[in-house]
Amino acid sequence: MSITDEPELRQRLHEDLAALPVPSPPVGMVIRRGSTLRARRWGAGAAGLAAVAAVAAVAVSVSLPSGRPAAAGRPGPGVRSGPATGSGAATGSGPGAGSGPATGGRPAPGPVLTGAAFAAGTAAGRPWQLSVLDIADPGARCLPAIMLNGTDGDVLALRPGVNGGIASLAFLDHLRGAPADGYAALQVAPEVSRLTADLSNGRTVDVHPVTVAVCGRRVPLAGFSYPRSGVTTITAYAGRQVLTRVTPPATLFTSGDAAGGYVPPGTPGSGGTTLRLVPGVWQQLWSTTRAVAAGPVASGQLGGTRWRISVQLGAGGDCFLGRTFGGQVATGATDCMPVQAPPSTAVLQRFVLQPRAGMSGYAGLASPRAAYLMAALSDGSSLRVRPAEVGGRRYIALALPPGRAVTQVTVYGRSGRPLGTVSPVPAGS
Amino acid sequence: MPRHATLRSYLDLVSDVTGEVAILDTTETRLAEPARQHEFGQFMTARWAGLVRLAYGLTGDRWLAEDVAQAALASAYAAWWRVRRADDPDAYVRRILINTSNSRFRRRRVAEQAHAPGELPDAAVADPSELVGERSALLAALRELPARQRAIVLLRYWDDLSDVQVAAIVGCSPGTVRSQASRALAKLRGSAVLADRGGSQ
Repeated sequence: MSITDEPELRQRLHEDLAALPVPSPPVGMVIRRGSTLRARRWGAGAAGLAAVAAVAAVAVSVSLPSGRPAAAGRPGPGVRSGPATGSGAATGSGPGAGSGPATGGRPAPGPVLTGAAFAAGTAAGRPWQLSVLDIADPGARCLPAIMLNGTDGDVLALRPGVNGGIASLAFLDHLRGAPADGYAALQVAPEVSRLTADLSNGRTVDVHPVTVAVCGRRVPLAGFSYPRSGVTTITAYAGRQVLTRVTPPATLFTSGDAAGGYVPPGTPGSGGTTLRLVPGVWQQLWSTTRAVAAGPVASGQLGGTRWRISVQLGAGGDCFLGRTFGGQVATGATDCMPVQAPPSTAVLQRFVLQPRAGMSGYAGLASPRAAYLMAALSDGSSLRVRPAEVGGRRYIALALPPGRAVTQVTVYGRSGRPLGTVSPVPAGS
Repeated sequence: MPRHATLRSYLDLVSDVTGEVAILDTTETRLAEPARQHEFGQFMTARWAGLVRLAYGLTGDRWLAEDVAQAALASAYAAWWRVRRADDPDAYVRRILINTSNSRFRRRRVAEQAHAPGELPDAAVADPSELVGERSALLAALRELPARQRAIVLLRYWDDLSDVQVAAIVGCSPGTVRSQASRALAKLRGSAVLADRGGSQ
């Protein structure tokens, strides 16, 4: 194809742009966004006028010979002055601390941060931070996730449907070694200027979204910490207008120590049963079918039984699906582990692949530099394992017959040099 | 100088500094809120598809295009009193859209350099615009043009605006529009993207 003259360019432009499907106009959303913008501009204008007035007053006082003090400039309507009004991340402590790194008084969308923290605070005497990281291997396509202190991630599904201002809402209060508090992360619509969270201890947290630049997009995010007993209500505002009010079910916060986790209504595959709650895996308030990456990791045959382990990365974490096929019978088992950034060596988790026969499976994540792994088995033998790439991450999996277990795994790089040795951990630990 | 004149000057200054066309509602007669929303809703409904497609031509990204169109229309709504009394409200909104697109593009480049991103994973939802993008070598070639030339090409050959109208929107002389359009056409004629994808057309 080539463009030779203006009529041809005109015709091709019309053809190509007409082929783009355009959704119906979001009039209400644009009006809300415009109203927020107008309010912000009025605030900026009033602040500027106040500054001009202050400068003028100082100028008058300087020009006056003596005696009369200059009038102090006052901020105009809509201007916040003094210290931050929100629960500042830098100073926040205890349940309820949260929101962006510099919170009070700043309307949405706030500054654009590149791969940076969007909420931080101190809970139970320990600092915490929520940030967005690209969890794909270097060179792979961007895969963003919200991480708590750099671990225990929640895959960030960009462009999800917006529920009246809050696009996604996830809670994490089932954590190893941090029993006192939980953490909430929200993706909000651009027009949301402020959120309030009513906590079960009677406190209310004021949270301002922070827009984070991630994977070439701008995503408004917010987060806060809460007491383990839970959050009663979350309200999203555009200026002074309430956009939506969400009441999370109490079961979401009481299930933490029980065997079962909260299952959002309509979650496919749950089959009316509760899902086992894995420490470090975020609980979504709304159901999501989205898997950002899925694919087979390994397969083989053990004593007439074929097995296959695949991975699905999504709202439930890194979930490994094991299937065995023996005769006419197929069995399945699923185990999830928290989403994490690619490790420097590997992480390997043990899970039951076939309960009746006692066949065990191992699955996990390997370093981007890993070429292969050598698994040392309990009977003294060893097994070579190659990572499989799924969604830009390198996963590993293997199955063992009854009576055998992996004692440790050594990871080797492309040059054949060992990168390190790790031991497998039981599922859910 | 009368007090309101000082205010007016200050507001104009704010407008210049922010680089946006319409900033603050001041002393003009304002519509009641429901009437304004109704009037704006009609305006937006009639122009939404065209603005999204113009933004798509400018950005090459469907989702960014919708966001840019929304941002431009939100700016227009924020200063609706000024847009509705403009000689050509359509040109006014197109100008906001082009400015918004340029600023987004600058921000996006910074973000992408820092993150080295690829396309976002989207296993569950098919993106029809990707099909359009695959099919349209022309839109890919357009992305190689400088932002102003791209805007001139789209306004002149897709929106079918006159050189005078394009000049008013882009902020240059009609002569510059003609020369920029001529250069853009020459670049497109020699575009490697168009040549490479020749077989698939």
